[in-house]
Amino acid sequence: MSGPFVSARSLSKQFGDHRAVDNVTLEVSKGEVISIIGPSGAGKSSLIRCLNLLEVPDAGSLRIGDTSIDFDNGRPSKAQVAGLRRFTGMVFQSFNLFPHFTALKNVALPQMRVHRRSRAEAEERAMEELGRVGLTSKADSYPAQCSGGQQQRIAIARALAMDPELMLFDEPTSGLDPEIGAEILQVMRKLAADEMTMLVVTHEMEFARQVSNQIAVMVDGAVIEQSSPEKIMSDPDQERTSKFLSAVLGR
Amino acid sequence: MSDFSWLYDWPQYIPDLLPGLGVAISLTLFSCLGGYILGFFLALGVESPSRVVHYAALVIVELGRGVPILVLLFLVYQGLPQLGLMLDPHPAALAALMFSAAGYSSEMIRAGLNSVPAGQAEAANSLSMSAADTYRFIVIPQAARISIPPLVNLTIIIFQATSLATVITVPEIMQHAGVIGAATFEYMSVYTAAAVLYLCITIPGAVLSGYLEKSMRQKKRSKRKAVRSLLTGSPSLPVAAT
Repeated sequence: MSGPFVSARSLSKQFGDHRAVDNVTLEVSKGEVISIIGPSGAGKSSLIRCLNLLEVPDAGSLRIGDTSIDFDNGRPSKAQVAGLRRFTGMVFQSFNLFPHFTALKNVALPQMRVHRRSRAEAEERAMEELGRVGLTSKADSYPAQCSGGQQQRIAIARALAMDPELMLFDEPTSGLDPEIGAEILQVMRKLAADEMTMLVVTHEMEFARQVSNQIAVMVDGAVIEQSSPEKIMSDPDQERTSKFLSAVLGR
Repeated sequence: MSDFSWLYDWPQYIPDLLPGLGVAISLTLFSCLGGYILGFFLALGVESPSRVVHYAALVIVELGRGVPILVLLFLVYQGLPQLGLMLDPHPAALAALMFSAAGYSSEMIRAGLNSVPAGQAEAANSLSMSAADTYRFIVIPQAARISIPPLVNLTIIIFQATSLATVITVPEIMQHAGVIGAATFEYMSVYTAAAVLYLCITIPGAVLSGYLEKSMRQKKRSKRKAVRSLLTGSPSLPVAAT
């Protein structure tokens, strides 16, 4: 494998007559953090869901690691979907923990089923990952017994236990109040420092500015500009970007 | 001129009806077991993205729910032989009851499956879990909380419906009662004994179903309440939105 770790070319996704993702080309190198920002309804979540094939793009191509899929030739095969997801972890805005399992089982069960790890092995790894997000004490709690911030950290541990080389975050802090969101951002900062490759859809401009190598700005389904945080924040090329930033930053 | 001797006479007929109770229970268990498994696959079929599968499953479900069990019994026992399929009374009753149970249960199972948020299967997918594992470990356990109370109710209804199988000479409770009644003319006593036998199953069944319904609802509510009190915003978003 050479070149960027993730390479999306001309991805498009249509919902009815709404074009959610419009001809998006995006590259992410190993160890890079890219934040995707933009107004609501711009297609940020749709794009990141396309990268994990929760939505199957209508056109374009996508390569993650060694697996590439060309969507112009119809729907991807099961093997292609599995290959693409194999090295990708996803964190959702609504956490999506399994409510009928404890935190420990949430993190251990996917390892046992997908990687065929023994229960002991999977639980040991689960405790390790729960420790990484500071929640070993919650191992035996059910999701409903955990705060929103704790649930999201368990969800991150669950994804990390699968040995991802790429982590996708879909507005991981939007369902949380700012103070609790900060817990999550702290965990993500640590991941970035450990050189995890990350794509983050976020409204947290401070996080995007401090942590990401690149910021991509999405409007109406398209990436209108992509550049370093300094450039985007202080001297964006697009009028639309400055308008969006002044609205969210209140300046 | 009334005869009230049946008021204390009826218990003596219970022992003669007991073999019929065994037949009724085994008919119920097997037709519900088979029917609910069939109902599960029909529920998946109705939800299938393939139009052919969707409509095929829907037709079977509507036939199972819409055609009275009495009609199904005659169709299977007296109708099918004309098409070359001759069934003994017992298997014919089993088939008719199973078909009905499948139709009714599939809608209950479908309601349960649909109650599981889409995010649950998405999370499992994103973790690379197979479709079979996703159903087995994630979707079905959560759907069961919704589906099981109505399925227990349906089982009680199917148990009562086994009484209809007497018309195709299955030796269940009513068949025995009819034979004894014809011999003794003690219809009031014999059918009272039959009614008591049915109640021995249906009343505990109704209590069980009420208990399950209450406990599953409470489980769900307490969880929801806990989640809601800890979240500030609404976490769920429609698929197409950002």
